[in-house]
Amino acid sequence: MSFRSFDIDSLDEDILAQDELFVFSNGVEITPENASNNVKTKGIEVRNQLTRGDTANALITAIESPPYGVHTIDAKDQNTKIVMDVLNSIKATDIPSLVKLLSREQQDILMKYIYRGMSSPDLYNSTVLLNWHEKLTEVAGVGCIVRVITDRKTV
Amino acid sequence: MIQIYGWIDPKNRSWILKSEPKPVLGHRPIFRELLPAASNTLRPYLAAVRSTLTAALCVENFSSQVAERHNNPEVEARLSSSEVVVNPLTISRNKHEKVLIEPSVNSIRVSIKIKQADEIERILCHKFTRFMMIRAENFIILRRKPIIGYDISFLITNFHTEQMYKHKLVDFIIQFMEEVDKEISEMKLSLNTRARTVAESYLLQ
Repeated sequence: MSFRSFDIDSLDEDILAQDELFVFSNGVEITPENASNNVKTKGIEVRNQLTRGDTANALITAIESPPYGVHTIDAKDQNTKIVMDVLNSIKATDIPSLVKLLSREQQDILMKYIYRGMSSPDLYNSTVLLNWHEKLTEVAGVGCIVRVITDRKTV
Repeated sequence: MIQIYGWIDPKNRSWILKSEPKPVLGHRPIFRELLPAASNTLRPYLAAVRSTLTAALCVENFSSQVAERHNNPEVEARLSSSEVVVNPLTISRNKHEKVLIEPSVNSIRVSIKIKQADEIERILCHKFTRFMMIRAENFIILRRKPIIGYDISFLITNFHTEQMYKHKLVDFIIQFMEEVDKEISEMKLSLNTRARTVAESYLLQ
């Protein structure tokens, strides 16, 4: 009768674990410390660009190479804050032209950040994010949202 | 260029729209700040929910990987760590109104948090959603229990999308979100009116 107490699922070779999901979707592991440092340097650069008034490049720097990973939670929070600062400081009339400048990957990453911001409405301004979402969907289409839904590399 | 939406005629106390004949001296312009503020975020909020729902409703038949010859809605059956359940998305209008969409390969779960400003609205909302959830079978896509933190939840599976039009399902959910707010305000108004008449007739005795 001891076979009833075996955990047969742990012996199954085909089982996919949570961390393996990230690796199989072409994710590269960065250590949490490296990721935090990268995000800090990125934050300084974005702030400089914003004070200069260079909003287009500030947006692109903020969303380029996000700290993907299973354990890089602090870096992700930091990066989200930086992106939200940039989004809040861009005027509503500039949004369509800026969004058209982005490449498809950048649009996908921007959409991920918009949803990430909307999941904490007490921290970030939802009205601004809704506006960005509308303009981005007009340009990038519903396919952008599908790619955000299915990408295992979460922001 | 400051946007003017119309003019206010202070003598007649009326609003004159921009399309109507030119205003007279003494009319005050209506700036955006004077417009009723609530509708500002409603339209982009519903548009965002519509586009996200359209994207998430790409579901197909998928048999259970755990039990043979079984077919379960994977969003209900598995944790988010499985490969068949994908990233959940939140669309929020403010702290008190949001929609959570959890898609998976063969089903999606849509949870709505309805705006409840005070105690009366909270009670009314709870009773209203409970009324509907008891009759969830007739609703087809309604879930009997809402997800924790939300007021009402829908579960849409591939079988529903095979029988019903996807764009109509999305239209239904958007219309539901609009109407439920109206219904609760109407109920609150009629409740207050009834209470006032009852109190008056009692005190006049």
